[in-house]
Amino acid sequence: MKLRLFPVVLLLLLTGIFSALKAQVTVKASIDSTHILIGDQIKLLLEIEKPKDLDVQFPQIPDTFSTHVEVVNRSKIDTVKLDSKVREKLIQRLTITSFDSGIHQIPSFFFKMKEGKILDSAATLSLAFQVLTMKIDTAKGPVDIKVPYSAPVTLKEIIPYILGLILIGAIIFFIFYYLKWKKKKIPLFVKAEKPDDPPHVIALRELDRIKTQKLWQQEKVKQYYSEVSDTIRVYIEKRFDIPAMEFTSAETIGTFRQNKNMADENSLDQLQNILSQADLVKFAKYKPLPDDNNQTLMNAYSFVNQTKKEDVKTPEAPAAEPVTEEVAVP
Amino acid sequence: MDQTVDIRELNERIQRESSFIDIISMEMNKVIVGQKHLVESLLVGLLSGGHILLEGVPGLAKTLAINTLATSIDAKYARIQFTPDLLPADLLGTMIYSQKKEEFIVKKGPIFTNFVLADEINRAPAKVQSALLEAMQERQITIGETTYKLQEPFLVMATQNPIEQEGTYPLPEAQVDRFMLKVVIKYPSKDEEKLIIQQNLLKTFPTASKVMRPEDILKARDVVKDVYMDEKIQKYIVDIVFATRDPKAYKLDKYVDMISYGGSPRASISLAQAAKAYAFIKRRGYVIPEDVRAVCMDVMRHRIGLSYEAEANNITSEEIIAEILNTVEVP
Repeated sequence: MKLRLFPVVLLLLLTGIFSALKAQVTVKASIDSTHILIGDQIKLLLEIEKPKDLDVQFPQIPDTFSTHVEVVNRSKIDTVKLDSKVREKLIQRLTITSFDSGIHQIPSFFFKMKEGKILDSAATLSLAFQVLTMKIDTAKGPVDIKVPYSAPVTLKEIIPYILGLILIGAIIFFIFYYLKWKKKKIPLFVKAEKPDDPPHVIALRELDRIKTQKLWQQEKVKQYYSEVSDTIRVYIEKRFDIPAMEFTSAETIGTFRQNKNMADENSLDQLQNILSQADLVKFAKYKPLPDDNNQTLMNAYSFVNQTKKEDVKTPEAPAAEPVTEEVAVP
Repeated sequence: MDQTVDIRELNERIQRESSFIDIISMEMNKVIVGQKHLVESLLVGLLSGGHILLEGVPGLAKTLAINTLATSIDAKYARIQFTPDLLPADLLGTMIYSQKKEEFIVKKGPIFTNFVLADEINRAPAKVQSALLEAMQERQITIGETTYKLQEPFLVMATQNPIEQEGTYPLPEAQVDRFMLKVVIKYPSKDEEKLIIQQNLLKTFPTASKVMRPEDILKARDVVKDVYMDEKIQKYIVDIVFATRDPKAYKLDKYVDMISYGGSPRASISLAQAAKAYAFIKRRGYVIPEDVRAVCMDVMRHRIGLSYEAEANNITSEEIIAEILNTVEVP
């Protein structure tokens, strides 16, 4: 008798365990629309709410359901923690479509569960939706195939073009800017230049150099006079703004004679001596005496010193006297 | 280049040999009032063996100047009025048949003289201009099968009237280049014009005396060749001529599009020869930059080709030369 009752008891026990397991799990399949136009898409949502520690296997979604319904896209399975913290919800979003008109079935989806050694499954309800087709006006006769609808342009799509345009614009601007600067012959990055020395400083430095080179002593008389006269001409050009390097000696002297405030008579005589002596040496093979050579250099020094323009120094403020406070000694 | 030349000795020689310059100038100034530059240019051309193209409005004593120069040198002088129907044979001469001798004899043209004034050269067609310019260059003329040397000194002065362009044949650039100097004659000053009137109201118009012989000019030309020109001056001349060819290299960028062609090597030679002659006139045995600058305008003005852009902007060759002289560094 006891042996006969054993299978019955086992069956009742197992049924009770499975019922308890299923009671902890809720599965659901839903669609966002039950009517679509042919080719339109429907969002299909698969959800399962379950205890956190229960292993669940999501159903394997095929590419098509019943040849009429196609799966366009599958999302990853998303996990949402529920308030109770011991339960969670798993969600998968599918995008489906159909290109056949009529009512189509979405079959049930089976979620497989495993708790310990016990296996079970839970199924969603099957769903249905209707696919509507376009009305065809047969009175018009055959018509051409319509071109695909142009989808509205999204920002994401046009951003590369916008960036490209900005880049091209920037390149054109820099090229234009560079050419403009190049035309002006001004370097793009200018290093602050050290201000030039005053003309008389440069001239005196040059005359010192000529003196130490001892050119005429080495029979280089022509070079000696060329360098002395060029030094004086460069000095005149910078000091008086007279283009002495492009003027002949007579023109330079003539300009000084016209503007008598530039140099006194003595300086002018010295200048005339330097230039005329230099012209004779340079152009007429004249060989002056050694004294004349020295005198020409002396005249050059003297001319520069007498006509130099000293920098006007601003008078320094008198040093402030230390302030002493008399402290009354009690 | 003769490096052993004694400048002092040369200077003294030139002082001696150039004394006639003052006498000729005096004789010319007796007849021609003002026009100092014209007289100087005539002497430069005469001493350097270069021909002169004179440009100026009628009545500025162009003909009188050359006539006076010829008179004072005791040289033969011919004036040829260029007209559209002039033929080369009218100028050079031709062979004519002599019935008496029963053979062709040479009839020499008016060009066989010392000084030729080719008046209004641009009125004659190109073939006549060409015949004259060939004679100027070669200093010889071939008539039939015989070549005749022209007598030295041989100086051609051609005049051009700048105000009448209708019915004229402007000289081609290649032919203008054969004139050493192109002198532009300006109006005299008020005082000079007053003197001209007074001179012309006298009962007898002053005439120049014969103070020199053509041989003296040839001798003077030899002395002019000895005038010392330093290498620095030669470089200065080359710089000036090169500035007309490549203005950009001399920081004259604004004239790059204004010049269609610059001075030829003949321009450099002429500038050097004219500068030497000018130094001689100034009684110096060496050339200084002032000499180059003094003759530069006359030597270069007809050797610079102006572009259409320059003409549209009213830029003249004189303006370009002045700018070049102000830019090129003087040695």
